[in-house]
Amino acid sequence: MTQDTIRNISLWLFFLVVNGLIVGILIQSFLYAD
Amino acid sequence: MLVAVGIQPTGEVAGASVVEHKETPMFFQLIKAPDYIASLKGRSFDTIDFRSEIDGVTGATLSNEALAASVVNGVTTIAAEQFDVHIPIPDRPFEFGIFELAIILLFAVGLAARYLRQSLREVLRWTTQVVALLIIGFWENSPITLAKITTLLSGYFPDPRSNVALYLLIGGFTLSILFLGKDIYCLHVCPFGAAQRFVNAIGGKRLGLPLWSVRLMNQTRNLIVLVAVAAALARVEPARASYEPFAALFALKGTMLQWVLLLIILIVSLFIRRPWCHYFCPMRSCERALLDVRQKSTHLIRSNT
Repeated sequence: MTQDTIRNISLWLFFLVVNGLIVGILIQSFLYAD
Repeated sequence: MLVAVGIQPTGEVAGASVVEHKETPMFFQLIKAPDYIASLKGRSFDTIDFRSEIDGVTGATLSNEALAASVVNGVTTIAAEQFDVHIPIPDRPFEFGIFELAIILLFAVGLAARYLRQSLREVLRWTTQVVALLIIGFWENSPITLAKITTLLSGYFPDPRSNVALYLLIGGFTLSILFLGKDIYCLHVCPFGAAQRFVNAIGGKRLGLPLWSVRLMNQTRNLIVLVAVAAALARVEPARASYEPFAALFALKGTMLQWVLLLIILIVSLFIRRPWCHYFCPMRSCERALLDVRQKSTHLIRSNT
C-alpha cells in the first residue's frame, strides 16, 4: 500500500467514526426525550 | 420546564419536583436541582428571599435559572392564591462580572490583533487562548453551542439581565463576521478551539488534508447541523440539537459517546490543527452562513450604488 492509500483509508475511518458518533449522540439525545 | 411545588397548610415549602423538561439528559445533569430543592424544603415562603434564591442558583446554564424561576413562580402563586400573601420580587439587575468582562476583553484583543504584526499577533493569540480555556471553558463552561443558537432561532430570547455573557458571545461572533468578515470568536474566544490548539502544540504536527476530504466533511457537517436544528425546532426542544463534546471536557460530564468523541478529537489534534473546528463544529456552518449573508449584502449594496 502506498502512503497515499494509507492516508485516505485513515481519513475515511476518521470521518466515518466521528460522524457516526455525532449522529449517535443526536439520536440518543432525541430518543431520550420520550 | 414544568415544576410541581407543594406548600404545607402552615406555609412551609413541602417540596418541589421537576415534572417535565426538554433538556438533553446531559445538560439536565448539570442543573443543581436536588440541592436547590432540598434547600427550600421546610422553609416558610414568607421568609425566603426570592431574589437571592434565583441569583444563588443561577449558573452557566439557562436551565438553572429556569428551574429557580419556576419554583419561585410556583411558591409565589400558591402564596397569593391560597394564603393571600403577595410576595414582591424586585427587578433583577444586569449580571456583569469577571466572566462578562473577560469576554469583552477577548473580543477586543482579537480585534486589535488583526492590526498587529505577525509575531505580536501570535503572542496575543496564545494569551487569549489561555484566558478562554480557563475562564470560558473550565470556569464557566459556556462556549457557544448549537443548542444556544437553536434556542434563539426558536424565538426564545432568555432574559438579557441574567444572560449578558450569552448575548456578548453570540453578538460578538455574529457582528465580527458580518462587519469584519473575520470570526474572532473561533480564533480567540472559543475554549474548545484553544484546547485543541494546545494539544496540537504538544503533538507538533500539522498534517494537511486533501481537498476532497475537506469538502466531504464540510458538506456532511452542514447536513447534520441542518437536520439537528430542524428536528429540534420541530419538537420545540432546542437543547437537543447539541452534539458538541464540550461538557465532557469542561464539566467532566457527558454520555459515553461524547467521551469517545472527545478522546478521538483530542488524539487527532496531535496531528491535525483544530480538527473539530475545521470539520465538525456547528459554529463553522453558522460562520459560513453569516459570511454568505455578508457577501450577498455587500454585493447588493455595491450594485445599488
